Parts: sequence; structure tokens; C-alpha cells
Amino acid sequence: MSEDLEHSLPAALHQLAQRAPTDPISTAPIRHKATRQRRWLIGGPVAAVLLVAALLTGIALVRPNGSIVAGPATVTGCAPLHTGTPPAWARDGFSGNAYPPFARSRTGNVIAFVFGNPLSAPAASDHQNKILWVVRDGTGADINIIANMENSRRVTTRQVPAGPSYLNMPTAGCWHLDLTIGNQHDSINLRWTTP
Amino acid sequence: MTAHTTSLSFEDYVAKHGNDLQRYAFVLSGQRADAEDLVQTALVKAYRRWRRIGTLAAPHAYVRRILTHCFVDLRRHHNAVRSTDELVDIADPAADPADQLADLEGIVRGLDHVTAQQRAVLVLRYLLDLSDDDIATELGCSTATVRSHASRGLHQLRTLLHYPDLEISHE
Repeated sequence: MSEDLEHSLPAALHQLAQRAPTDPISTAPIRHKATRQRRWLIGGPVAAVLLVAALLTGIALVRPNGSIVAGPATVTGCAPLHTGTPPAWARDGFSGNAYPPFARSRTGNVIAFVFGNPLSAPAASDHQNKILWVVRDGTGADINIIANMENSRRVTTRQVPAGPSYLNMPTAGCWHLDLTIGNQHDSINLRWTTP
Repeated sequence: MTAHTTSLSFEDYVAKHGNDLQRYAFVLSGQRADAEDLVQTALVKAYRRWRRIGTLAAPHAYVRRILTHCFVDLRRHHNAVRSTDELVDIADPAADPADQLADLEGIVRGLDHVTAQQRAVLVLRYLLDLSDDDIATELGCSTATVRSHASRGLHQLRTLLHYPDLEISHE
């Protein structure tokens, strides 16, 4: 019996390997991410202290581009995710007609494909909060997020690359994400549920 | 680790071994999205140390080792072994066990239910043909531990293939 399985296992693994993605790997995002992480390691603790101080004292938050946010934005609720066909400009990289559920930004120029559906806070044990961000006419700039929770003054900030990433929120609820992408400003509402 | 006098550029390495990494990550994780994340995470880590890695005699082995550790750490962190509820679908209980063993798809699905260390050992041993000593070096553990992971992983797979309804507890 043992010999049977040990005989079949290499074939099964090779069969699985044949289904592996073979897309060329671009090194530019890897360099960019590595550099950004290095900067974060240096500047992160300082930024964290400043952010905590700002939140504790009720001081207005400073956007990444330097403009001032007066306080948490009003969250008008999280609609269910779309399950249909996304806009043509957001379909690059998908094959077939099956798409993950997605949310549109206020202007419609940003699509958040939710691979980790439902998004969970804290993160679920069986899947991660993976979101693919697609920006119309995007330049590849990072997305700076100021997230406000519905019916709460809770605010948190994140920075994610345009593309796939994990986005965890401190608590479950409907979150209004204020997005700054280069000079572009937008917003999107997403719900994190209790796993 | 042996250093070379000449240095391989990061771009040349990725162009040459990118597909190998993707294939390895995919077999480890079983998921396209997870494989892409693993490759990117491993390459980001490798890039930060590339000045040294690029001079090694076998940079691919070093990067693959980074990827293996990323996989084990990630699975450990997220405790991503799937619930036993899904085990019912692994094989048809009515089918003959011998047929199930021959079912390569059943084996592939069964791999989702062994621990990360067991899966890594099985993949390194049966896909990449590494010796147990080399696997021990890759995982940073003893050869005896490698054999233990392999034995337990095979036992787990065998059990899943024969008794798909069995409740399995994970470490």
C-alpha cells in the first residue's frame, strides 16, 4: 500500500505542477516593494507614534499628499458586492467569464475585486482578506487609504500597491475607504464581517 | 553556501528561474493566488539580500529555501489546514480504495489536508527528488524530523484516501 502511494505521488505532483502559472515575473514591483518595506522599517515607528498621537488628541489627520482631513467621513453604508461582469478596463488578467465579486469606487475609476470573500475581521482561518485593486488608467502608484468605520470615530490608515494585496481591518463593520492614488482621490465602501 | 566571484543579476535570475519558482510555489500551496503571493514574498526577501545571494554558487536553492520557509510560516500563522467538513469530498466512499489510490486528483486534493511541513517534505522529496539530508538543510531541521514528516504525511494521505469521512485532528 505504502509503495503504491509513493509510486503515485510523484506523478500527482508533476500533474499539479503542470497547472502552475507561467506568466513572466516582472521585477519592477518586487524592487519597489522591497524598497518600500525598507523605508517603512526606518520610518514606520515614527509614523506610528505620530498617528497614535494624532488619534488620541483628536487632531485632524494629515493626508499623504499633505492636505487636511477634518475627521472621519460619513459612511453611507456598504452595498453588497457586485457579482456580474466588471468594466472592460478592469478585466485584464482574467480568463473566461468568471470574476470574483467586486466593489466600485465612488467615481467608478477604481475596482476592488474581493478574492477573500467575505472579508473578515479578524482575518478568517480558512482564507485571507485578499483584494485586487484595479485603477482605471492607473500609473502603478500605491494606494493610500484612510479608513473610517461606520457609526464610529475609528480611523485607520493603510498603504497597498495597485494590484493584489491583503487588507485587514481592526474590527468587523462597514468601512469607508478614502483612497489617494497619486493625485487622484476617490473612495469606496467595503464590509468586513466577523468570521 | 559557496560564493562565486561573478554575480548573477536579480533580473537574470528571475528570467531564468521564475517559472521554476512559480511551479514549486503552486505545488506547495495548491492555489494560483497563494503561489503568486509566495513567489512575490520570497523574491522581495531575496532582492533585499541579492548582493550576497547573487554571488552564491546556487542562488536558486537559496531563494527556494526562502520560499519554503515563507510557505511554512504563512500556513502556520493562518492555520490554513482546511476543515474536516471538506474532507467528505476527497474521494467517493463507495469507490474501491485501490482505484482511489490510482486517482491522482484524489492525492492532490489530499495534500491540502496535511500540515505545511509534511507537504513541503513530500513536495521536496517526490517532486524535486531531494534527499532527506538536503530537505533537512532546506527546512532547517534534522533528517529524522524530515523522515517523521514524510511518514506522517504519507500516513495522513493514505488515511484520507481510504477513509474520507474520518475526522482528522491537526497539530
